Amino acid sequence: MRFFKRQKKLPALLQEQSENNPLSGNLEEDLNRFKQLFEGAADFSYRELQIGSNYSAVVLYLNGLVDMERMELNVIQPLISRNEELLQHPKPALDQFKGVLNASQVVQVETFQTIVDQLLAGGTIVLINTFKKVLVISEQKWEQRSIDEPVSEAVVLGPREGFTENIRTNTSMIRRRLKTTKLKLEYLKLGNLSQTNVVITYLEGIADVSIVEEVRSRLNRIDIDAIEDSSYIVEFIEDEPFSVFPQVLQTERPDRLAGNLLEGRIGIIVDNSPFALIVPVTFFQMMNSPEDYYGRFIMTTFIRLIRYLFLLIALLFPSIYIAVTTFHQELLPTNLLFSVAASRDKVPFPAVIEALLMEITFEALREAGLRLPRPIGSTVSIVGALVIGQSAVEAGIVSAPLVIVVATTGIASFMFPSYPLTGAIRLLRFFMIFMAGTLGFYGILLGVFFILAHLVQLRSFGVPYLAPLAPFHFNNMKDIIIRVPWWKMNERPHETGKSNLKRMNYKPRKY
Amino acid sequence: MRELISKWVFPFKGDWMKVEKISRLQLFYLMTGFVLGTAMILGLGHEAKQDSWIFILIGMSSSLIIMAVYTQLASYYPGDSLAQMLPKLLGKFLSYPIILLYIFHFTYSAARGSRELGELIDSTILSETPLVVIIGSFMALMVYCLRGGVETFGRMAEIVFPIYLFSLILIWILLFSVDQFSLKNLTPILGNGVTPVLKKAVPTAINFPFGETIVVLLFFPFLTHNGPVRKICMSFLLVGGVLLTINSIMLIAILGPEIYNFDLFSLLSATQMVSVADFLERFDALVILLMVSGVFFKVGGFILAAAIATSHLFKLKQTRSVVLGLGTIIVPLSSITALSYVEHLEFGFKFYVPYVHTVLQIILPILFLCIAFIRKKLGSK
Repeated sequence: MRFFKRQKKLPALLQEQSENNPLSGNLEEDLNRFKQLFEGAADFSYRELQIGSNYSAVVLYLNGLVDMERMELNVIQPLISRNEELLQHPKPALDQFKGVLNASQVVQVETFQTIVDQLLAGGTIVLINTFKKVLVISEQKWEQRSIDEPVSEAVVLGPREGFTENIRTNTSMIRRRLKTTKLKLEYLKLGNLSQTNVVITYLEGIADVSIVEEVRSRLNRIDIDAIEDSSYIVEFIEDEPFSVFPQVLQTERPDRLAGNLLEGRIGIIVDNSPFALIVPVTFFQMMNSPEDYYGRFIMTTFIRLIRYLFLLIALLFPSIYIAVTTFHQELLPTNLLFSVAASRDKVPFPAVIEALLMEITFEALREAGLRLPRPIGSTVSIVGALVIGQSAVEAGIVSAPLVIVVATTGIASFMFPSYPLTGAIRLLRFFMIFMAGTLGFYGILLGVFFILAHLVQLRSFGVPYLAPLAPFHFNNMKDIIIRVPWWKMNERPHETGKSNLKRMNYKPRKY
Repeated sequence: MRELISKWVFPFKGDWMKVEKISRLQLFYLMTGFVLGTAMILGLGHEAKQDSWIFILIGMSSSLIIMAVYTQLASYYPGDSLAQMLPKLLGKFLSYPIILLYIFHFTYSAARGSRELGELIDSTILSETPLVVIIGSFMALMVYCLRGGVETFGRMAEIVFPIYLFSLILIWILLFSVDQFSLKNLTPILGNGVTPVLKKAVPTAINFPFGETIVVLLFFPFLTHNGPVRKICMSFLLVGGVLLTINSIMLIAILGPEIYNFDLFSLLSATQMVSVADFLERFDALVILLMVSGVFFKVGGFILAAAIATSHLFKLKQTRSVVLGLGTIIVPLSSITALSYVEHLEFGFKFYVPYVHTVLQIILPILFLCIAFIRKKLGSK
């Protein structure tokens, strides 16, 4: 089949050219080299200094990435203040210059490329003449969003802090929750141009070694120019990229990530993204809200049952309505049938078209509500409520029962704690409407079987997506549809925490 | 396009994907569903009238012996499927046509199952839809599901079977509420003595549906723990047989032996009589759920068995492409083999089940076992 394979010749990738020529030691020459490299970059700044009479130096930094105050205090001042020891020394080593500086993190760097990388990452470079090495001081500081309440995963009970765009802040939030040396944070860089910091975090001894290795290798295989958000990574590492179901959990909550680490899962934190990724993940985890673990367990169990009920409603309600009104009128009790038939009397469309119209309008309203500037947002809901809800029914375009169906479905689809899962259910709803419109109740059954067959084939990093339901594992069912009290959760989930199952000693509530 | 196709055929590359496995519980669910499958819709032992439940019990208990033959055969060749053990047993040249015969048997049985589902859906809820659409869409589902092999099918069984059982029991509870329910319909029990029932039951009752569990011989290599399988095989026959017996008692008690005898879809007719508090009526949806999931197990089991046999016979590395091919064959096969549903049933109950089934599911396995036994004796000497 080589015959058909035609490869286009693409131009070479735009990449940082790595320059490996060492520095010359001549200050003028080296400075020119940097100037040339950063030509046209307005944030590139430098300051020339004179140290004593023998030495001159240049401090290089990128404006906006460096804490100017501290740099002045800790780098520039010590260098230009006449340090007696340094001046008296006939031929001071670079280490002695380093000793003068007050910054906490100073390293000597030799290779040109590393220097440039450090500079781009917000480091301050001190070039001193006659030396082929430079000093790199890490005094980064930039404006950033403060720690905020997570918007996408709000809870009533439980911690209110969410991840920010700064990876250091994010890792610190995890570290504060798991003060153990077992917590590993592996750094790596992704993206040819963006050079984004990515951290793989897991608990050693709990997380499955082979899954950690798989995460590492999948991340290292990513070849992309820039990563703007962790969602970029999701599509690269998913097992089944063509599935509508999310196979990676995205969370804004450090407490959720920490809780998942304790269950043997692996977190991926990406710089400039407030969403951390959790793998491997199962369907039922997507259906769990972090609040489930903070609320009382009886109430939580009840809420979970409601959630699964509404999962079915969100997926099936419009299609059942269509199947019943189009194919199986006899399934309705007579009185109900009369009232539905009476309201459908004036409607000129078949039920499928009617439902599709309403569902698409609802999706449009929802999208418009999200995108519109806040002040106009209320207009959309008024238009939606009045035009769609009332006028359309009065005008006889759609029937009133369908409005109820669509509204219930809409509310139901807001119930899922995981936003990507909501998307999957919304898409599949249209698939189900199509199935019901063509084959009635039989079509709905086939559609559900299709979805199930898809779900049981899915895997997230080798873990079956529907575990522990299929393959069935009784012990793990305690945190799926019901939630047992915390003192009963003495084992980690089997599929991820196999290497260290025991969570607590089995002495529940010993007073 | 090429990538898409290769992805379809080999969805999981590399050793990251573990070998397909199926647990004992999954096998149990799957095979119980397989036994119930179409038998639950069609009803068994129409010719035995009010004694049809005895007919089923006879069939079940005799099929336990046949199952002992199957499992004994499997224990001689642990880790081998039927298609792998026959060449060792009979030699290459004799075994090929026999395996092909089994593959055809499985394929045709799958086609029969799909036809029964199609006719049922067509005559009850979707009267204006062409048969081929109903069967075709069902087959698309089967092919998609079996693409993942035994593992996917086993997991589907794990989810679907509990729902299946739950709705079955729910229907039974509802059937109690029917006014016409009377156990008197079951009398006279064995009015003409045991012999007529026994004559009718052997071999028909053994063959359908219990003897069809010969497909399990092709699933053994995929079990998670190799070990004795007899217990699990006996238990799915027992559970399936008991459920069928209860079902037939319920149906006869409601419909009476005469209607039970003539009705093509007796479970549906019985359920249509349910009315709770004059409000909850028409539980047809539940019956349709039962039918679709039952046929799902039945047809899926047959297609999978045929696919595994084919891939083992031709030494293919996967069953996915075979499943796709079988699915394409089965849709036309199910429609062209009989002009009408009555002809289809006639052919099935008068010829296929009594003769072909007996040869393939009783006589040949016993023969294989004898040969295997002799071979073992000779080999040990």
